[in-house]
Amino acid sequence: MNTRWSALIASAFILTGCAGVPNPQKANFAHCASQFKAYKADNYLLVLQEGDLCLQNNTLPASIQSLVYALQAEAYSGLKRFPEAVTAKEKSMQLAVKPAPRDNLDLSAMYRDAGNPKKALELVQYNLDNRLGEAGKGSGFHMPTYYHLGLALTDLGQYREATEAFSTGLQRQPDYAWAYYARGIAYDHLGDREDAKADFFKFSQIVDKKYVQQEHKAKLAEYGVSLP
Amino acid sequence: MLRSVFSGVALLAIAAACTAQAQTVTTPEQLLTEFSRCDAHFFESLRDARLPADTLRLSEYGSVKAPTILNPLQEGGTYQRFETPLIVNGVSMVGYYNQVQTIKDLGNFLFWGFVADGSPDEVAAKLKPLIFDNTRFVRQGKAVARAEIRRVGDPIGQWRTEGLTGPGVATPFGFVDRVFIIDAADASPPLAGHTTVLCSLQGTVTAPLLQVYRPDLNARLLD
Repeated sequence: MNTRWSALIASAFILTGCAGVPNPQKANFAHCASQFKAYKADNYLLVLQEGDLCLQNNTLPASIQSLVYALQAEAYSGLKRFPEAVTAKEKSMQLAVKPAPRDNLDLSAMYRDAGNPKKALELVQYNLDNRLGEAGKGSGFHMPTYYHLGLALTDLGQYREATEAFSTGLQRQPDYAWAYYARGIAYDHLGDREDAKADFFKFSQIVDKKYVQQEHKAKLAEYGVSLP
Repeated sequence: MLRSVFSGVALLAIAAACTAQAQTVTTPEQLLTEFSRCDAHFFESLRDARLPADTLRLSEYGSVKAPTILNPLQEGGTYQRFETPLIVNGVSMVGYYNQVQTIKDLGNFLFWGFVADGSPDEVAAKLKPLIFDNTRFVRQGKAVARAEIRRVGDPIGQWRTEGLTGPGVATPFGFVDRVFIIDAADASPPLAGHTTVLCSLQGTVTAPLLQVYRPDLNARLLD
């Protein structure tokens, strides 16, 4: 998304900034650019504020509005304001010329965070039903689809199906550490401690430690697994 | 705490369902019916089955039993010839076959079941009344088969009867085909000249699926 956003912002600046004449949209574009900078700096509140100013009193193309809402959705997620994240993401997708299948997966994650795993599952199933692989229609399904499928199924308490989904994703991408962790959690719910431990151990061996949080370490510790 | 309670309730429900379905098999015909489901019932029923002597040689695999074979992954180790044939509704079953294979880009293939004397048509005609869900057991070329398909993420016990891949077509990634099939055996020994009565799982067969459908196997063999 960053690449697409950067390209659009750059185009907007060229269109509005080079002529050297006053342009009512110029100020708004400055806020759009600030929103992007704030997003890169993980300053979520500023992302929301600058995003609102970017959208104010202008006639931005729908594609740029879509990206502004997408960044706001990410910011709301970062702030754990999940229902607002869902709303912003849905606005973003409505405005997108052609929503990408990946957007459905991102929205699915936001619905899970917002406590609606049923809707989260429907979104992944929509992609599956319509052969919307991560890279477009008919491109096949890979780890992201099965990972989000597994997470939605886990939240719905369908643990066996969740382990199957994660296993399927791992056939595509066996080095994705978080799928082992998530499958370990599903095995844990199934009471299958042996398989859970094997997955937590595998996770501990290949995960990028900077993303491992206290809750993950605590779960590993339950199984006597620690990060090397 | 709540999660533990839910897990406990779920396990109790599964246990209750298994207990309700597991009836002691006392005839070869009952065994064939259990087998034709192509799921764990066959292996669970063998645990307490009372079958004619010197027919199937069984081994314990975890909490279930299955006909003994050397190694489902190893060519030459996939077949047990019965000392005395098992007669099922007039069909002479002379052995048991159990093979697991992984083919790059196509997925995992599991075949298990009986090897019978007689032509596929004769065997199918005699066994059809015993076969589970036999209204869908229909001719497919020279074979007679009942096919179904599951998409990863569907409820684990749910199989679709529409949108099937069809014979000779690779199962798409993310799907599993399950087929019960009576067909002429391979031309190579020891099956040559016989008819096979097999179940198969093909495609994206994962360890969690095996844990449910093939409790006689070590599920990790596909990891």
